[in-house]
Amino acid sequence: MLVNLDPNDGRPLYLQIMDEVRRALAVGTLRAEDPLPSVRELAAELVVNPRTVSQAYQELERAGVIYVRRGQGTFVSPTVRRSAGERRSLALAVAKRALLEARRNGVGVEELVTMIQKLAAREDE
Amino acid sequence: MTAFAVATHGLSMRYGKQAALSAVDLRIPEGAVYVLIGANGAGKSTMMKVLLNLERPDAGRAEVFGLDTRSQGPQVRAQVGYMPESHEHAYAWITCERLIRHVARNYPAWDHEYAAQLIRIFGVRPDRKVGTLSKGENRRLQFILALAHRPPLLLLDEPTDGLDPVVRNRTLAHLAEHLADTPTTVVIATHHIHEVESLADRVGVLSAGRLVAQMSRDELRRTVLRYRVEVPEGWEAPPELRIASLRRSPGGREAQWTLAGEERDVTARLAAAGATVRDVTPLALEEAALAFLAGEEK
Amino acid sequence: MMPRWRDVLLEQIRIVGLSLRREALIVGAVLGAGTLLIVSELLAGGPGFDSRETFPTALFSFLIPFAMWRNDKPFGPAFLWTLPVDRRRLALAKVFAGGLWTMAMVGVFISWLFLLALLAHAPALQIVLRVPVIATAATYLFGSAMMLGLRHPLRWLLGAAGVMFLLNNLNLMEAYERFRQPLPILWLGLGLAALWAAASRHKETR
Repeated sequence: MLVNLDPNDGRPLYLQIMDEVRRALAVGTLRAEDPLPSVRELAAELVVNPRTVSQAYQELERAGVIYVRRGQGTFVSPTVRRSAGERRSLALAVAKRALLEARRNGVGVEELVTMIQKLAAREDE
Repeated sequence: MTAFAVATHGLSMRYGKQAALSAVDLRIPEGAVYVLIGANGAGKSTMMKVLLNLERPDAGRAEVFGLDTRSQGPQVRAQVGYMPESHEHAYAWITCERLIRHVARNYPAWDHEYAAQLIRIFGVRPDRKVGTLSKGENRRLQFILALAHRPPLLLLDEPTDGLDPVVRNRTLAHLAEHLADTPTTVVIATHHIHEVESLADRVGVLSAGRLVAQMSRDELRRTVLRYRVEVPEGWEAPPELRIASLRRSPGGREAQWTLAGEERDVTARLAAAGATVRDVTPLALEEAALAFLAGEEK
Repeated sequence: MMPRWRDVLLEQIRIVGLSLRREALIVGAVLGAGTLLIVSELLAGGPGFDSRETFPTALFSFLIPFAMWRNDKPFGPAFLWTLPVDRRRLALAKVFAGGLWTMAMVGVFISWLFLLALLAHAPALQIVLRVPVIATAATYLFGSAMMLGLRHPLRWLLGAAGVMFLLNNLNLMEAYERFRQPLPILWLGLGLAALWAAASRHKETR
């Protein structure tokens, strides 16, 4: 699982970490029962206070996304699958960013949607 | 209510005409990574020295873990790992290994295995004389000396200064690991702000000795934002909406600011002043800090 | 956790010993040269020893504190002050350590002198008794007091040298010698008092 933090993201770091885990799950790079990096490992990799990583893991555990196996580490919940709900919230996040960019550049919603569809069609060719 | 690892009350210190510290009320909660930002000579180093009772303030007092720094200096220092900014060492004629043993004998909490591990990780050659070390090696040695007794408080003065890029990252990454193993409060004074972007929990900005901002990193991220607005020609920004230099497009119809406050309030105030908000972007730590420092220059 | 006082003191003795290695080498070199000189004079048929020689051990011990405190200046953020030990006590520990090593070097000098005097068939005991041991200890204390108590000890040193020069030229040296000679024990006491006052400048209180 690759986690990247965006310094220009206005949200608290623990939320960003949680979203990265969710993203990995939705995309399929993380699957049920996969091990997660330890708090120590992830904190060193991201150069982040381990308490922040702990907070992210605790919230994910509370949400049932991950669980702790005593003495073995943290793992993805067996009950997690590539749910439609996760994909929907990811799509929402992407759409939000696209809309923000559009507004910033004075591009209307209709025009944006048309452009996206055109590009997608071109890619399929 | 978290206990404070460090709390200062009206701390002031002058060097001649310069105010290194001016009525500073520092508040550092236990377990936080507190980044102290300021231009060079802004008093960051002085602050750390006052906490260790290496310098006597002109006014005010300071407490570390509830201990008064002036009257309980030795007890405070027993709980602090200090990495000074300068790399000169008093004992240039002895080997690194001997220096480490010297410091170890003054700190009963010394973890010898950990010190040996750190020496390996950071490639310090134990049989080199301290006076013959390069600046980088010297600073790595100082880093090791600060961490090896696993103190509850770390005061790191420009920890990445003098280190090459690979070692800088290794140092900060190792600090994160150290924090995972040992509950520690860390104070980092630095002007390489972007490096500690993700490590920082709390931020303090010193400008000309005054603590012009002190808040959690999350609050800073949420409330110090860049607003790009559309304004009518000849529009003047009302005085209360300035904390940093205003950037204005040539035609005068677009302006850009960094402003502090909850997004909703600031947007409302801008609208009331006749400006239309085009977009709002969060800032990296360095940009936010610069806004505070530049704002003070007025 | 605070270190034990005994550990702190022992470690100061060790580290000061290490940091005075250069000075010890100088003493060794001087003794070596001295041996060569005296032996060559003896071989040439000369006496080797002047019966009224004075030995500048007091000057030597006066200068040792300048070497000890030069790289870790007491007025400033010295490395010594970052240790978790009360500053006045630590200063006194370091002075004590330096004093131990200084007197050890003086002891080596006395032994060398005695042996060489025996070799030269000179009155060894008489010669050795002329070494001003107490005055040597006293000047070490004064030197230490200067380094600990004065922000700019070198200025004071230059000033003192200037005064000595003046005394010499005004032919007042004899008066000075008479002033200085009696009761070296008194000077030792004054040295201790000066040291205590100087060390107290670094006391840690409110």
